[in-house]
Order: sequence, then structure tokens, then C-alpha cells
Amino acid sequence: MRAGWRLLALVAGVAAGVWLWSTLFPHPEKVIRARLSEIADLMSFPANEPPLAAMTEVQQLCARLSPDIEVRVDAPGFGRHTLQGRDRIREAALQFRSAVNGAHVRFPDIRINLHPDRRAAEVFVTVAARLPSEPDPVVQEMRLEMRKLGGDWRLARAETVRPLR
Amino acid sequence: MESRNGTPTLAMRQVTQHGEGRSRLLKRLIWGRNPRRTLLRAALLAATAFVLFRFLLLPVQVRGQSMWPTYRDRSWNFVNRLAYWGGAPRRGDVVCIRFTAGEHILILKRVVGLPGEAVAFRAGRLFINGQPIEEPYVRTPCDWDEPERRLGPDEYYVVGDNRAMPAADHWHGITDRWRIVGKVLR
Repeated sequence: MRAGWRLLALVAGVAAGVWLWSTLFPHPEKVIRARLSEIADLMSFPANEPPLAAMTEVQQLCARLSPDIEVRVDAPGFGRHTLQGRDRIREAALQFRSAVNGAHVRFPDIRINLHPDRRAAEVFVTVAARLPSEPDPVVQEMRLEMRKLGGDWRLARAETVRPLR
Repeated sequence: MESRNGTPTLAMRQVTQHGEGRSRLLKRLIWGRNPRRTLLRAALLAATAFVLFRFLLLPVQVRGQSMWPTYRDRSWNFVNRLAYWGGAPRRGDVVCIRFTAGEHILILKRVVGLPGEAVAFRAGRLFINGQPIEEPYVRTPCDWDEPERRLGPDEYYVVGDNRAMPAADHWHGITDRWRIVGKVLR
């Protein structure tokens, strides 16, 4: 009986250790997923959003981007555009928020390919954006590049992918 | 309705018995005669449903108009994931195509071009290897013009049935074999 309790305590101790380790030193994939979830939340905004709230959210979004970020969009309805640098992204995001009255963005699928050095990752995401003007969500596949900069994972590159060429 | 010594009268007793009978019936309806066996059956049913609807027949809801009129917006269908285990997709099959990241959102299209073939649209008509192809499922007028494209060994040309849409707004083109999740049941 005493041995049983000892075994139980040992198992509980190991489980607590594993949990503590994964909390203090999370796997890069887990951190990247958390960052992407934050980015999706920051890209979403309610209808009739106050300008100050929009500014704050865009500022928070830009903090999750690398300074030399490059975004390449080539999609039906959007045309072909390339945006470079955080300032340009900030401008575009504010313009988008003022032009569209609300959006709900989510990434239903995420696939992460971590580089061997664990300082960069190639990420494929399916983006589903619900806009008030569209009856169905706008769906687009994107290829992202995440880089570890200053101890945190930031979005360094984003480009649209055509599943049908 | 109690007698003087506190025992329930006949009418009361009948009500109590009736209530007990009802709760017993309810219990039996929920748990069955043998609760352990009922739980086992429920677990087996749940496991079968999980395997069936996750690995064999994927339930999907159609969103959008690109497969109109064959598949209407918001209708429900099943994708047979085992359809191409023993063979390859054939011309005319309606298939679901996955994105690189996962399978939560799929693209519903019809296979019109097979590996090695040359596919083109001229004045809204589909041409395979230079020959016009009859497409009885296309019921809308079409004016698409697209240059001939030769498919690679593991490539398929897929397109929706609603050709009334402008070609630029209609997702169509070449997909790789690995992206085809299964055949849509009809």
C-alpha cells in the first residue's frame, strides 16, 4: 500500500515536472501557434470600431512583425500587391480597417515546418476571413516565414499561395 | 389525502406507484436492462461514428456558387476518402481538394483533365488534347478563353460547374494528386 502511494507520488511529481518544463520552456511550435492566434485576433475587429482602438490594435499587430517584413498578395479580388516594412503594413492595416466595417479572421489550419536551427520556420496557414459584405468567408492559403528575433517569434514574410495553379 | 395513522390512502399509493413506475421506465429507456452493456454499446457506436465520419466518409457543407447547379450553396454532402485507394480520379469525378495546412476547409471541384493531357478553354468550350469535350453538367453560358496547358504525371485539371462566373473569380486550374482528399458522393 505504501509502495503504491510512493509510486503515485512519483508519477504526480514527474507529471508536474513535465508540465512546468513545457510551461517555462515551450516548444517553438507551440509558441508560433500562440503568436499566430494573437495575429488572427489582432487582424479581427468589430463593426464601427473607434479609431483609437484601431490604432492600438494595429500597433500591437506591428509589434509581432519583423522590421523588414514583406507581404505579397496575389489573389482574385485583391490584385497583386507587395508591401514592405512595418510602417507600410501599419498604413495598409489602418486603411483596410477604415474601408471595411468589421472583420473576423481565423486560421483553421496551421502547418509548421521548423528549420533545423530552430530560429526560423516555414508556416502554411489557411486564412478564413468573415467580412460583412460577403455572405461566405473569404478563404486564402498563405505561406508565412516566422523568425526568432530578440527571443520572440515574429512574422517576417507572408505570401498568398494558389492551391490551384 | 393521508389516513389518520399516517399511511398513504389507496389513491395516494396509486400515485406513488405510478410515479415510481414512470421513473423506472425512464431509467430503463436511458440505461436499458443492463447499464454496463448499454454503456459499451454507446461507446462502440461513438467509436464507429468517429472512424466512419473522420476516416471514411467526411461530412462537408458546400459554401459558394462555383459548383452550381450540381451542388447548391449550403447543402450537405459526404466525401468518400477511400474512393481513390485502388485507382486514380477519373474525368467527371467531383472531388475535394485540400490546402497545404490541413483539411478543415476543402475546395470542391470537378476533374476535367487527367495526367499527361493538354487542357484549354476556347470560347467557353473545354478542349482536351485539342478535342472538344461534352460537359452535360455545365448549364450556364461560358465565354472563357484559356491557353492550352499540359499536365504533369501527377497533376489533374479541376474546375467548377458554374462557368457563368468570370474566370478570374472562379478558382480552377492544376492540382497535385496528393491534394485530392476523396470523391464526393452524389
